[in-house]
Amino acid sequence: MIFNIQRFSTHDGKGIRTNIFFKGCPLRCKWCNNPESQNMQPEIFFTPSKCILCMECVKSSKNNEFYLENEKIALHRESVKTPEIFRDICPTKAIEVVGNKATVENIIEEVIKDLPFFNNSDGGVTVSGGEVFFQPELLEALTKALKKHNINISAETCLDVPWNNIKRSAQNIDVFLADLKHIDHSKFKEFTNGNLTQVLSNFIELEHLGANVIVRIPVINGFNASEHEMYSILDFAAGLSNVSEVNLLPYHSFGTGKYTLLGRIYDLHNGSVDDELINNCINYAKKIGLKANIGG
Amino acid sequence: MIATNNDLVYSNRIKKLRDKVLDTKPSVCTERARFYTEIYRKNEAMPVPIKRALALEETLKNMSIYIDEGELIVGNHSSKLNAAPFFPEYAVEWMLKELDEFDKRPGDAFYLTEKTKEEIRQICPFWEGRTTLDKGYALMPNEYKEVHRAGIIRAEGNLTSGDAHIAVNYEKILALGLNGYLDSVSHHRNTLDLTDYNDLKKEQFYKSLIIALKALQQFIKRFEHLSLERSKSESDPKRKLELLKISENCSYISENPPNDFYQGLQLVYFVQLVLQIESNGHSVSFGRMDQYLYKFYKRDKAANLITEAFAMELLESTWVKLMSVKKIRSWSHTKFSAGGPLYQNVTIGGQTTTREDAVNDLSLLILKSVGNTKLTQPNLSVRFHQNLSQDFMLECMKVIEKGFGMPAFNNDEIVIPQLINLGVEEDDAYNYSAIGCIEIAVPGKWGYRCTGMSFLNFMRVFMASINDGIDNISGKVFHKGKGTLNDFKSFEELLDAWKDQIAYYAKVTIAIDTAIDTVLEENVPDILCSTFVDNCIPRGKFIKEGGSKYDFISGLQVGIANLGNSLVAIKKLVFEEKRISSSELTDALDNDFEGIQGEKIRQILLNYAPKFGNDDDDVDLLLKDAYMDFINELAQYHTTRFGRGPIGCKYYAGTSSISSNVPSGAVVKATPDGRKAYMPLAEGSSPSSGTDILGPTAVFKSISKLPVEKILGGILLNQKLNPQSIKNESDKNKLISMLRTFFTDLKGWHVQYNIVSRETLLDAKKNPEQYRDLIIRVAGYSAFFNTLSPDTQDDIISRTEHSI
Repeated sequence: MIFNIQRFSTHDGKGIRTNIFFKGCPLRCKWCNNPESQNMQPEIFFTPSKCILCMECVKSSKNNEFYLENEKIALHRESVKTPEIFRDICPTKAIEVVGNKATVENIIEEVIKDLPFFNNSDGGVTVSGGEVFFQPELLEALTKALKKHNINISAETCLDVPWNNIKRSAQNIDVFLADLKHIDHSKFKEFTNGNLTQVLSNFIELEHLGANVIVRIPVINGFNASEHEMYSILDFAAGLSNVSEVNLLPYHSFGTGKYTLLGRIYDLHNGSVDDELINNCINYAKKIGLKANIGG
Repeated sequence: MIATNNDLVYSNRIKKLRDKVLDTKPSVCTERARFYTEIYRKNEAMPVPIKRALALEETLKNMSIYIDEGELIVGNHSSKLNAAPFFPEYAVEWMLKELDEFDKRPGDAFYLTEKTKEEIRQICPFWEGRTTLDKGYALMPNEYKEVHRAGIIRAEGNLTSGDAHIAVNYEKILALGLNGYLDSVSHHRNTLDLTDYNDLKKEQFYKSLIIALKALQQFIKRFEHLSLERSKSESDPKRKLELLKISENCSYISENPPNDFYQGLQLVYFVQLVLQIESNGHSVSFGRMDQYLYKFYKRDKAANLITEAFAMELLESTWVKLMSVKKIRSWSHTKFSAGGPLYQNVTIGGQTTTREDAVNDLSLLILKSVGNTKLTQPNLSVRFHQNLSQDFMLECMKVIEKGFGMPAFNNDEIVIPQLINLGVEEDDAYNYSAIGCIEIAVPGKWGYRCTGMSFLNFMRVFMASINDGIDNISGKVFHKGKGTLNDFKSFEELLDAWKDQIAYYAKVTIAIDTAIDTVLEENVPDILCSTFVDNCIPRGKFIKEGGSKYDFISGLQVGIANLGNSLVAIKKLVFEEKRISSSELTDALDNDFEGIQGEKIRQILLNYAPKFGNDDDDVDLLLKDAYMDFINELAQYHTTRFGRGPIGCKYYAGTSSISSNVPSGAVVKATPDGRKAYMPLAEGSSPSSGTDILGPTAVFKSISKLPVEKILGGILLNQKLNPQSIKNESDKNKLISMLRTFFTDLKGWHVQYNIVSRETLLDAKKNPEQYRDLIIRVAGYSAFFNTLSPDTQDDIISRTEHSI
């Protein structure tokens, strides 16, 4: 299950890239920018402002999923059993079904369209998510197919998956863009619902493999945005023999609108961090031998 | 190779001259019109070429001349700065009709005094019934005149002003000098046998050339004397020396080939200027200036006769002078050329005839000086080729970053092989340059209008083809159709109907062009322009009679993306998925998508059919084939010069349709791509506004699927980039690698950039006074945002903005 293929991505890895977004993630980070990436199932994005009241959706609603209320169309999400029936029915795309079962062939067909651009810019494909190692079969087949075209592959990952899932595709991946959100187990659990032990052990496994890893650290106020916490995270990264570069990703709230479209509530507030902390982190990273950038 | 990386900022002198040209409101000058009228009146019996040579002579002899404070390059276009001369021999009706409206125009206003208006009123009556416009309509077959009047084909600019869209042979002018040309003309004239009909005609040709060349020499000498005189009363010793130098330059180049870079540039400018006094055709271009002036610069530099800073100042002086050349067009023609452009193109880069990278120190100085003055003239083009250095590309990016739409890129990798395919000699093909916007020709060897013939509104034709041939604006049937959308049993039937209609309208465009070209040939031959284009002199023929070595031309097709999007929407939604019935679509189109039902249909058309610009073969290839239906028709036609000398005399296609997408859209009802009635069509070959949602690589891919090799009139692609996108070096390098891919791998034709944010444009529209300097790329040219009409401003704001 994927939810987007984005061409001409220039901020996740080198050169001009095509990003493939996998749908489904083991984590539930409170600051997540892509809430539509979390569930494995297709979901409905509903944008009432685009509605022209043509009633097509109501006509397709067998269980009153979409209904007219106060001269507006409303959605009763609990009644939606199969979002699929609403795919492509809305003329204005006020209703969109996010997530589709793309085959490797479908994806490759899209990706190779930009092959000449990859070649001239040292670019390639970035697999992203969601969590790409959450769908190990698809990823393995896809990375193999990409390698047949000699395409450079970066993988964005939270690493909170069994090592076996990663191992299957590891040899095809040129660069791991691996998140290290915290090194405090309880805070990690509290803010992401994840298992930090598994994440850290996968970092060690990748070190054993000698994989090319760039560590990515989201910097979120209220979660990890203190010098003490950030420096400990950087220290861990510096201790890995296969890591020489970190990307700091300061909090932004660009994704909040999508929670509304999904009928969900965004409950992280005041996540922003100040420039001073970021600058201090960059200086600290340099001191301990890491190359540090803001953004990817 | 590259001389310096310092960014030179222009001098105080240039600042003053630049401010003055920007601050002076455009007006109209009647001097030229007066002199031409007098000569025409007194010499009715004279052969046309002699009459026109005498009129040019009279103008150059008597027009007011001036040298502005601090000017290093001299020569003025009319009696006052920014005053457009008036060319009554082409058309006067619009001038009289709009006389009191010029200062009220929503864009491109001109400010005339009552005295000027009165003079114009006195001049015009003589010309009524004598203009090229009158004669053009008289010659045009009635049926075709109706099509023209209905606005499906527009050729007004060709009837109401001169031809141009040409670069003369500056290389040869610099080598021979003006006396050299006089010798050559006399030599050929001496071989004539005046008992022969053709030679008698040639005699008029040569006689007119001699009059015009001598008039040009005298004009230059007037500046020799003026600057000498001014030097005598000049108290500043430094300026005194400058004026003496100017006088010396003018004296020398009025007869001889130039001795140095300064003289060379001054001579080139004089010729450029006088060509635009002789004719008001636009897109008079310089060709490859960094090549033909380089030997002078190199020699001066080696002998320490010139500093880089002074060379920059001379170039900047020239660019400021080019800004003062003005053209007044009728309002309907103005809408096609929003922003008052003269399209004086300078081309740099490319390859030498020995296939090496032609970039030199002068290329870089030209690039940087244009970046410094940041004006709408000249229109700067860079010839891209595989071996263009990364250093030079980065320098180009730095100028692009300044956000005024320059330089644009043309691509050697597609142009050169295609020119050779057409029959252009290899060395000539390697020497091509951009003309005007994005079109190309071999400078000094090619006739007028490598593009710029009539404009054909594809969407009017398309709508007729799904409406049994009825033009839904005029209500007339110009060519009986093959049924309505409701009648078509299959999509193939629709395609057949399109093919049939477009074949008819292709013929009509050529017929209209033929009538216009004949009128222009018989009534307004350009004498100086023909002098400087090979092989007019040996053939004894004006360009329009078949004097040029090459002659390939193109009209402009408007609404390219709309055609593809409309076709695919019908194919997919009506015939394949049957989501919309043909009667539902017809009703929705007839009612301009009014009501909920209409809007529902429109939204389906917008959201559920592929759109050109997203690298989707379903639409891209359909568009290619439909465009080919038109292009294939062109093969059977030729220009009026056929069999009279030039190589070629053929048509190809062109999409460099300047700002015509706005007025062309204003005469098209609702279309099946979901476009509402009278809204702008897509610009050039660019995707329809807001429909290219997959980013610039997908746009490049779609564009490259067009039959690029058949559209040598140019494939115009405007991309709007967010200013953040090109700030740091790594982003610039990404942009460069994208361009390299587009040109080298995908064989793209051309691209140009607007680096200005949507917010800035919206603010500029609201607060024009704060954005006096804001220049944006309109189509194949740049214009001051403030001079554009609100419609064109909105069209530019709505183009999709890409980020890197």
